[in-house]
Amino acid sequence: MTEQLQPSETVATGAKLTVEEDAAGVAAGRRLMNLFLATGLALVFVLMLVGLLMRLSQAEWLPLDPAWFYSLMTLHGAGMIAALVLCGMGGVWYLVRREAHMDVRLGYAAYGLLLGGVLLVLAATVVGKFAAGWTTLYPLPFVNPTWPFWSTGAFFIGLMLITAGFSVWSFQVLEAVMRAFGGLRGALGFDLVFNAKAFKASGRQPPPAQILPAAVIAIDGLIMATASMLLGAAMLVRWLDPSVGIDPLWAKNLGYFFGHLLANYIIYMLLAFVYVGLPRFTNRKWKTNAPFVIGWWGTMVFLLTAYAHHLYLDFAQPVAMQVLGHVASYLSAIPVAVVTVYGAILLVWRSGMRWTLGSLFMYVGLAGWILGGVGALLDATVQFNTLLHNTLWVPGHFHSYLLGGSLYFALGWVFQSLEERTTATTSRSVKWLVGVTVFGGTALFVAAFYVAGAAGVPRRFALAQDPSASLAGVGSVGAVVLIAGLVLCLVEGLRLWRSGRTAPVRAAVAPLLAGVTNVGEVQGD
Amino acid sequence: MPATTEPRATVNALPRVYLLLVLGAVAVAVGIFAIGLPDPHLSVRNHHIQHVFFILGGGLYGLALAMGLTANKHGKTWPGRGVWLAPALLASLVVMVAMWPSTYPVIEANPTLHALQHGFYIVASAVATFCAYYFARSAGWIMGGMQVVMAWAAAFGFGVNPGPSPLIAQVAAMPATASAGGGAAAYQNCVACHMADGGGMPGVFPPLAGHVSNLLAAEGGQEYMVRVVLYGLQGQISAAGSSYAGAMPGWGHLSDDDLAAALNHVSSTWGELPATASAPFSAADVQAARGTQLTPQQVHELRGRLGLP
Repeated sequence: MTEQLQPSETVATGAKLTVEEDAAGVAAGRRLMNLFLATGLALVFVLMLVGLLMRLSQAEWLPLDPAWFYSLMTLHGAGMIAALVLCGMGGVWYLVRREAHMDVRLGYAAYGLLLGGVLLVLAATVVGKFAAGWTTLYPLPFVNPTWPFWSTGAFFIGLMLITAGFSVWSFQVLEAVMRAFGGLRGALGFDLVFNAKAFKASGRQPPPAQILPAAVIAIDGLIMATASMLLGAAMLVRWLDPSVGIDPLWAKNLGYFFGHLLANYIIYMLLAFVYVGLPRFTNRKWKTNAPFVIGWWGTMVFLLTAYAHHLYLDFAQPVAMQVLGHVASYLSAIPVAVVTVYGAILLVWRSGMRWTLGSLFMYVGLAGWILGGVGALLDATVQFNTLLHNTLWVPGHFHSYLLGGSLYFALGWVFQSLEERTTATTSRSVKWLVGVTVFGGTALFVAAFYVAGAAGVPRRFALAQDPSASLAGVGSVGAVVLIAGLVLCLVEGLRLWRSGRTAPVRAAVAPLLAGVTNVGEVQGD
Repeated sequence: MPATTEPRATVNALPRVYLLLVLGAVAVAVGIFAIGLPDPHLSVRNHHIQHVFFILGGGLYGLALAMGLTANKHGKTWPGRGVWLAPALLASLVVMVAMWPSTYPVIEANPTLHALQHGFYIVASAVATFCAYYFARSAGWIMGGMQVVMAWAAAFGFGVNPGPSPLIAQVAAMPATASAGGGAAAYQNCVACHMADGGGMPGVFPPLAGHVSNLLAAEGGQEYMVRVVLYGLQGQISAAGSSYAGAMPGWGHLSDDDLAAALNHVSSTWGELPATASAPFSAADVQAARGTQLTPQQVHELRGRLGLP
């Protein structure tokens, strides 16, 4: 049977698709998301082991040659960013695909470009021992390098491929949300703020909550890609032609603009999982209202200028840029954090929420997200930055929100998807074990960074000194506990997955499954 | 499914197409004649700004062409034709790489090649915006904007040697000192923290001015100073009335001569030594101190044992 969509839906999808065709497209989108998530999470796990090696070396428990340390550090930084970006890209792609038609082949193209980039970075660092750090401050990669010529080029080409993949994704997502929600004006909810009465009177609905992060990251993503491609082209030309000069301050601005934004996209992009996932545990909808929309506008605008807080100690930088970095850091993070946390509390408060592994990861992830955000804001405050700049406080805050926030959001989404496919549940003891190992291990791991950073010891990565050497030992223990907890999660996830494949799907949603392959899709949100 | 907009009304796109063509021609003309740019062939920066106009013109041509071809297809998009994005992105990237600054003298010596290079910018930019518009309407404008911004930003750093920074100028202007023998040059290793005027950074990096004289006057002060530069220092200290709790890296990788020269420079500039005093530090002093390896914490303990300020 072929059923035609309603006219408004035809505009949203951009083509006259049938319900069956669209359901097949959504299912294909889900498979794409699964591929992104599986690749991203596998990379995260492997690179966690690399991170553990570095921490063990800093604790002086494992002898590691400094040249190897810096190679592994470059791999860990670039790889983790790419891995979590993969998780976020796949998730947002699928969530947008449920609202508007998107060509899945383009999604695979973005995936292929990213994977190609990751493989080149892997080759450059592991085989070629490229060790200039993932932010690659010019002219460091070209001054008396201890690594071969080819590995510098491979690293930059890898980063360019990652940027190209992100650009493809950004263009596609932006095009889809603009098509589905009435251009940028509709996708960003302008009428909800500026023509509120008329908007309500017309009976129109604001875009779902997850569309805001999708649109904001796609817009800012293209701006980031502009800077990244330019810097990448300049570096590649400099690699091939040493006579080409590059202004180091210009390169540092572009490099941190790119690096800061890409890392921040992860923490904002993966919120889409929370906006869609958390309501499923509470049977309440995450509402898109004016404060929520304004919060995301703040992120969209000020995220672009907050990077300047990385250049506080560059005295040649205009003072206005330093002030902008300070102010923009607050404005990019606080509004959206307030509306998100307030929304999450309202969502859960007296909702009779089901505390499964999925919901636990999402809710605890919000705590890590906020904690890391506060740590970042402290570091972005000029008065504190004079003490914390280039200390272990920096990895402390970004591990808080990337590991204790964004990764938890991704894991929460995965567990939620698994839990919805089966009648099996996670036992109380396993939930406690996961809580103690994963959350406890993470807390110990990041606390060691924070304490060492607060002691004001500037980082010398390969040779940490007291108190950070002893604290690195504490952090290493935390990392081992965390990794053990993640192995437990993997076992529990496999158990739920196998159970879902054999057990009958939940009776309540089974009748809705005709023509659609996944429970999550039918629930629709 | 989401709430959506009303279907677009059919409008005559031809006036917009003509307008874009005219604007594109103007932009290219500006690029060719370099209006307002003083002698573009002498400056990489101005040369890049010239490229901005070519890329802007080409982008407008591409948009006009795409708009003309799709003028009667309002309300439709091409979700299955995402492959158009590939040439769009590739063209943008190739334009950037083609701005190879060190080739300018070679290319400028060959006017035909130079004209071809600039023509390539126009064509590649047109291809990028055409493809993006054809793929997703507004994305064409975004793609064009990205290219123009990239070319504009390139003008300020790609192929451009760094301008004189106040800090470097300050170091370059430092007077010759009693130490001579490269002391000022060796001190450049210290400038980033202790500053060219020896004032340090209040609360972060301790000053040398007003502090080194106390160290030199104290018993064991000279030996301590040698070890600080060799092995670094970590821990709470007091300098010129302020407290500091940071860490200074060791500079043992520098030669004995360089370290002695830097110490002599610091001593003669801020140590209140008589002008006729001979250099208090020698390379032999530094070499002798290398005999016993210390950690930055041990140097801090040494400071405490000597009762240094």
